[in-house]
Amino acid sequence: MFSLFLKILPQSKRWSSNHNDYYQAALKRIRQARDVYPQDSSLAFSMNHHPLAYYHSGVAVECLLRAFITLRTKEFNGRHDLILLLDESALLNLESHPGLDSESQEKLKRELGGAVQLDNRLWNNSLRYASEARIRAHLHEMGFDWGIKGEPLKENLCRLLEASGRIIERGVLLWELRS
Amino acid sequence: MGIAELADRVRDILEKEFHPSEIGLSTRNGIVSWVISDWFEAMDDLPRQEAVWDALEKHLGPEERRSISIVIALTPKEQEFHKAGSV
Repeated sequence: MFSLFLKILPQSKRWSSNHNDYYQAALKRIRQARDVYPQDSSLAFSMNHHPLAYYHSGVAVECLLRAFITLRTKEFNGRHDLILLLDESALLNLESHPGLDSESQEKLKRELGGAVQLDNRLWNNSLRYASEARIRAHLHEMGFDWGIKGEPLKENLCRLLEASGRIIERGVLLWELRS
Repeated sequence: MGIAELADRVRDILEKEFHPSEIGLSTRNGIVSWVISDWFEAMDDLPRQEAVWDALEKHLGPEERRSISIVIALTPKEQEFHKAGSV
């Protein structure tokens, strides 16, 4: 039955995700990234999975932004550009959330602006092809290993996870409010 | 003030304060802006955000700032990295 369905469905439609797919993928990816990087330092931490968690931290945000965009339209231009996707998603257009007073809005804009900014500095979609050595080289080129006493990749993964987590939390709140 | 006029003012403020090599503005969902400048070199994320919002606060009232969704502050090198993975 399923193979018949696949035959009938055009190739291009088979893999087009809808807003719920993207939303669930966002939650799953951030959870997978966190699983690799346990908050509890007593838990075993596999260095081998750093690049995977690093990549998933950014993909989670991309999925979330795509979820909000595809609520309204199937057509979007941002592809993997987090700034353009953010613009198209309207996730940070706080005008549509009158529950926040001006002071809270300004604070939230600075916090989330910082989180989105950090994601853009640390992550891009071409990292899916990057080896651990390539990610380390990138961190060095951008000065992200400056002043770090410990392991630069681990430290920056922690920062990326925190920033992505903050954006996802905001998204989850808005997602739940709309239903 | 209309959104296009406000966007022009935001552009003027950011240009004057940060001398960017590139500045982008979208008015699709509130104002979304990205400012690319050496000014942000060696600065962490929160200080960058404090700098851009303090600059906007100096020149715009609360109602005008309400229409600005986000301003992303990157260095030219960071923008190059960002663009490399966007397609």
